[in-house]
Amino acid sequence: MKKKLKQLLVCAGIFIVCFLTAPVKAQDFIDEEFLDNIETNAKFIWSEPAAAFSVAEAPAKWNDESAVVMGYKRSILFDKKTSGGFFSARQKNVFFFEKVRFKIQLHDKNSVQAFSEIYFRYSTKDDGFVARIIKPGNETLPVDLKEAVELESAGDIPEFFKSFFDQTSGAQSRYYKVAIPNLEPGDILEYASYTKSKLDVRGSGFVEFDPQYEICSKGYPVMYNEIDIETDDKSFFKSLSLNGAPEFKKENAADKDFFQYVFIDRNRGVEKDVNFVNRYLVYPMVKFQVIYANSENVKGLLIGGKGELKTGFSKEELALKAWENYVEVGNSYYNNLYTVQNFVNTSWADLKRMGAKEWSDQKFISNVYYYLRNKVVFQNNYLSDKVYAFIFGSLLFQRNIPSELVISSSNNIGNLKNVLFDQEIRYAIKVNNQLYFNCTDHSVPGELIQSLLANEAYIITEPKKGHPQEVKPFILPDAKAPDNTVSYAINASLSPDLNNTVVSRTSVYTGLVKTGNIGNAMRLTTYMLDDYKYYGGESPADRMKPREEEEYDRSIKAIKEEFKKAKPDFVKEELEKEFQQKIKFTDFKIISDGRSDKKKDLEFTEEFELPGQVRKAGKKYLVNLTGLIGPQLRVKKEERERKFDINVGYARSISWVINLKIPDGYAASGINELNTNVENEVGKFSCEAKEEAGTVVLKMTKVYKQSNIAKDKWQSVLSFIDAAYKTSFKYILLKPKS
Amino acid sequence: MEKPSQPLGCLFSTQSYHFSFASMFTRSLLLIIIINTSLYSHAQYRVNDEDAANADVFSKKYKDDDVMCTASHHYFTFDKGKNALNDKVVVIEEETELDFLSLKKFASLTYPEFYNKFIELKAFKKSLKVGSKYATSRMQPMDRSVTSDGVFFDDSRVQYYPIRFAEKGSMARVTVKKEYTDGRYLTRLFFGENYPVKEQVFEFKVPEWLTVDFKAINFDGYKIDRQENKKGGYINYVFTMKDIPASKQEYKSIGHAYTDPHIIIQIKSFNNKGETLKGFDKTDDMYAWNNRLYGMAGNKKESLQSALPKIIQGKTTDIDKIKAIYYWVQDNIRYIAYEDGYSGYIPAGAQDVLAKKFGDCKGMANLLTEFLQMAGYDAHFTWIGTRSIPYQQSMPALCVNNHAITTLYFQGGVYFLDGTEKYAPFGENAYRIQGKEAMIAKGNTYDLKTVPLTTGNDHKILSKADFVLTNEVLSGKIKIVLTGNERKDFHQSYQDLPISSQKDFLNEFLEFGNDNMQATNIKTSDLKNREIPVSIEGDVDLSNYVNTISGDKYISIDFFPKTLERYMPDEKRVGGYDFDDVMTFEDEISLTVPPDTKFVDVPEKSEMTYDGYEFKGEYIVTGNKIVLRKRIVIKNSVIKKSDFENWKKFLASIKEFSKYLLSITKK
Repeated sequence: MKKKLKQLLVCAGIFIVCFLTAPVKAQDFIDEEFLDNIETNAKFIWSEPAAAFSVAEAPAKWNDESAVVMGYKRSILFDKKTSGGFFSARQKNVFFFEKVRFKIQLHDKNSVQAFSEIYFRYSTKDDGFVARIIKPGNETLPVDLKEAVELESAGDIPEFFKSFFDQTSGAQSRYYKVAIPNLEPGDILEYASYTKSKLDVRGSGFVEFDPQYEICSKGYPVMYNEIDIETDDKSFFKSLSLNGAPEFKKENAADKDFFQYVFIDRNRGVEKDVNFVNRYLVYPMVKFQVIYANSENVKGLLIGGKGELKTGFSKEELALKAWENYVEVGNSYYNNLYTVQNFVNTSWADLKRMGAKEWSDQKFISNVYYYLRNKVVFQNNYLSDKVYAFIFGSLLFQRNIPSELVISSSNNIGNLKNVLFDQEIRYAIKVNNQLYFNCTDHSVPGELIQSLLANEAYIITEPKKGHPQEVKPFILPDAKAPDNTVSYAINASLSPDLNNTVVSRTSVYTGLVKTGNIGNAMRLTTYMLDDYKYYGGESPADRMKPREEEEYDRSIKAIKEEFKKAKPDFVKEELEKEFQQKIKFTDFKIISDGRSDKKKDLEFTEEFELPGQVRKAGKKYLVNLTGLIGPQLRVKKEERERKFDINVGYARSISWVINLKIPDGYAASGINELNTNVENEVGKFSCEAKEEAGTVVLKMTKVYKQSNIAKDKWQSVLSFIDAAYKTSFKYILLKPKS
Repeated sequence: MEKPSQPLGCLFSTQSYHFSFASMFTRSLLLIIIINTSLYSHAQYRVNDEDAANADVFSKKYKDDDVMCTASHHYFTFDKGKNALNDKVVVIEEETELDFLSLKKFASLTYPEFYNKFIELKAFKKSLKVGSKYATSRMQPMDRSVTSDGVFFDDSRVQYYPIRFAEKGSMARVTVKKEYTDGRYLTRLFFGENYPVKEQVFEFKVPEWLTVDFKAINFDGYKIDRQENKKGGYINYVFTMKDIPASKQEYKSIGHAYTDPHIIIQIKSFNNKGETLKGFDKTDDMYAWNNRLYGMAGNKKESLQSALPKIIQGKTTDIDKIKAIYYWVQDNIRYIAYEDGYSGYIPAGAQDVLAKKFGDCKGMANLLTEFLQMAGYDAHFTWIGTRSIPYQQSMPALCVNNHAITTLYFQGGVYFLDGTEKYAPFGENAYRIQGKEAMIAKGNTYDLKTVPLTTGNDHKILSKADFVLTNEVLSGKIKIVLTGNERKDFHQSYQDLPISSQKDFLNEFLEFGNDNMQATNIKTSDLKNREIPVSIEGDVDLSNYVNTISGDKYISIDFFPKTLERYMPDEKRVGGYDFDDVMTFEDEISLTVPPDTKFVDVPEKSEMTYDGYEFKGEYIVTGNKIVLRKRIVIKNSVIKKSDFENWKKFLASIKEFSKYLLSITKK
């Protein structure tokens, strides 16, 4: 999210005023001359009326919590109108006046330790900070800052202590840390900070500050949580409360030209659900954003009217905004050197040189996809899906291949009616009945994205004069369990001393399970070297002079050697994580890299030995063959009560076929005992076990049938999760025949 | 969105140092740069034949290393100066030149130079070899604080150069000039580095006015040449060691100071205008220095007086008062360290530590000593080296001590009280200082006393459990008792947890790390009392633990502590283990099965005894009840590599014994 503001700052040609950015310097004690100023600038906050902060004790119901936040109040005033001082020109800067007041009762040593060091900003002469400890009995002790130490880099400062401005702009302000003296369990620590920051907005049409997602429940219970946003009439505010969170309310500001929006949450405990929780979908949460507009022309902004507390947008508003944003992409910067439109033009020229005009439509679409993927492979960052859609759609346009623009929202955030920010609008391109989503290093045309599965979407068109924009509702494709699979074919045998299980495992991944695993599988392989072949590009060596080619070959050889050396260690580490024991690694081989239409599935084999699966009983051996499915989720007693709906990510199916060759001279028993089948509407776990021609054969399946499950189905989830867990501990018995 | 990257740390850097590379390199290499998705540069690309040949030879010798040092020369000269305390001291200048050779294409090395208020970094350059000449880089080194996690503020800093090598055989040179502003702070020099070194040379040009000694530590078994030449009013001492493999970081390794050859520099005295000034010649000198800094703490006893009565309120006996003071410091003073320059050696004033309720080891020892003295006890500030340091106090050097405690003489006994050791009972010492010599301040003189060693039997984890098998369910009661350092370690973990997590912690403790075990009805000893053994007991259910096959049941009741498996050395392990602990595990676990069933194939007894560790395990059947008695004692905290054969057998025998499942069948 930070990048959004940063990019805007760059694009709009505005910059953060130099004095705000503290140069990196050696850490040292604070200059004592600052101390009076720091205190003076913040101590007025103590005397501001705030009933919530006068509470002397946290409620007894939270005595067993490590600490209780008694009050947390953040006030941010966005002010373009008032001047920052005599020398500051009007209309040049947006000022941020931030006040934070925080009060916490510390119940134990853990929280005392957690708050033994706190951080504050003193980056301008206007910044201030005061802290105090309130002992049981109400004795108040101010925290002396004279031994505060300046921090060397912004990376040393926890985000929690950074000002809103620094969090969103990434400004390198000067911060200090102070060790809190005389802090003990039972104490109340309270601090208040005041910061004033300014942003030079000359030449910028508008600045969208980072969207904020305030989840009401925190790591400690919170008695009182207040956020005040005050804006002048140059700024716009929007907010949406979800899952039962309180709403921002518009209140009268002291100055009639200002608007004030206040969020207050009280009495919020700590949430306990552990497994399958998507916090954004189920926890009470409020999201909000401030947008500053420098001129009256606010066309294209996803905002309400001046002074309006906007809580959502109609289908038409979203579609219009999405389109306007989409067409603006061409003028944005692809990198530091050229614009997205420049990139489109260069790419089209490249493609034409390769004969793109002669390709069939389908081949062109496919090649464009792989061409763009190849660019992404060699970049540090993925493209946003808006930029990707623009480039992809523009290249199709060059070949007169009609495409449609699809917008939707991430299912991690909510559906389209909950979209509040530009950043929440997702983009894809539709060609006939095929959807093309943003690509990653390994994606294949048409592959789905987890966060967009089965989402409500709109197909939108260009708004034309005199005609309303066309907005067609559309549902993005879903992926069911059979679409997202991993199949393990495991051939196992016992080592000659019967101590270890020797495993040869072939894994085949499809759909979203492949997406989640292909990164590790391809790690430390040289997939990138031949990536150009997927779109019919030329090898980098094709146009080289002999000496250059020789150097190229030597470089490639060095990389290959390095990867070859490092890959076994990496695979071994991954297997040890998976099986939670030391293993002996033998081999890893990719059979199908899953990076093309022709080889869409990811398939690889691993060979290794596991020492922990065999136990003894006299002359008999017991083999934990089912343990080869790896550790299964254990849901503890205290986690069996469920408060929130269940989110398992996406529907998927995992299957194992395990063959164990029975060692010569031994007979296997206990096979029938492994048979189990638990199936319901939300999932399945089954194990079919049999002996065939001296081999024990297990066919096991675990299926998550739905991605989102109502909380009242928790027992159904538990039934197949538990079955898998229990089965993973079963043994078969190998008995000497004589 | 940022992409996950290939782990190419050793190949490429994400940082850019030279922007002229594009013109120097071929387009093909640019592709590789793009592949890596980040800018980088190489040290050089033209390699002369000799360097290439060397790289071929050494890459075979040092297969696991990317870069080696072909020549490392440190040249020390001595001068007179003044330290920050305005003392006349010996100032040492060190000039270093190191040549690095790449053993493969695209290797990299980060070369650091550490400095602080006692070590001034005067010059630090990197040069890259092109053909047969070195060209000095105009880039300045990176500079940053290296304050460690446990320290709030100190003066430790590092400057470093990342060095990229484009080719196998590429070379780079690092030159350093630094000054030890007080020669006492140049304490020791190790020959080994974390890269192989073909030749490491330490040369000291010692003037006649200086008396200095170079203590050779761990030289036995290594070929280290020592030369001494007198010339023009100087004696040149030259120590040379060749073909040194890279030092490797390993899990629980034995401290390098125990095993690796190094020199301790001992400035004994020097002559200044006819006056002989002392350095560290004898232990007395070391004490005088320590005691002087201790005296600079500036304690104000009057500021402590109001606090003491509250701490010992209600305590009538001496022992209770002493404990009250000791435990109060443990419980109420948080470890927060300021170690800036001499404040790394001068304790914070006792009144400051009391007022802030935080301090480092020196601050805590200072406050504890003051409190005990004020209460009328014979307590003394004390310096000590932890077990990571092998030296005795007879070696007068600053590297001997790294910790401060309080020594109490009480009723004929000597007690070592460590304020930083939370939840340590009076009379018990942390293993990290056991066997170590303590330097006890007694005004103008001092005592040397050794902290007594304990044995594995003093630190136990006792597990007693009684299970009953009913149908398919294994249930029973379990009790764990912890003594010695095991008890202290438990407290340190438990008491520092959020109170909201403590119950879960106890449950997990009783569940032996076994995923199938579910503990309920937990009861504990008084966990506010650090002096009594910790006892945790409860009911456990192992409902998913019984394997029934063809009517017989197979169960394990051997909850072998899995942690020992981590200490099975693999083929790559270079050095021994130091557990920094000794301990005993004792299990007594019974299982009662229905009267119509019996145990068959009862595992045989296993017993192994070595000097440093022993194991005994046996199953005893009485009717329908079986009892497992198992005992593992780690008597030595150190397992040397020379002992690995026995150690492996030992671990293997425990593993083999633990492999057995009990077979239960119908009578």
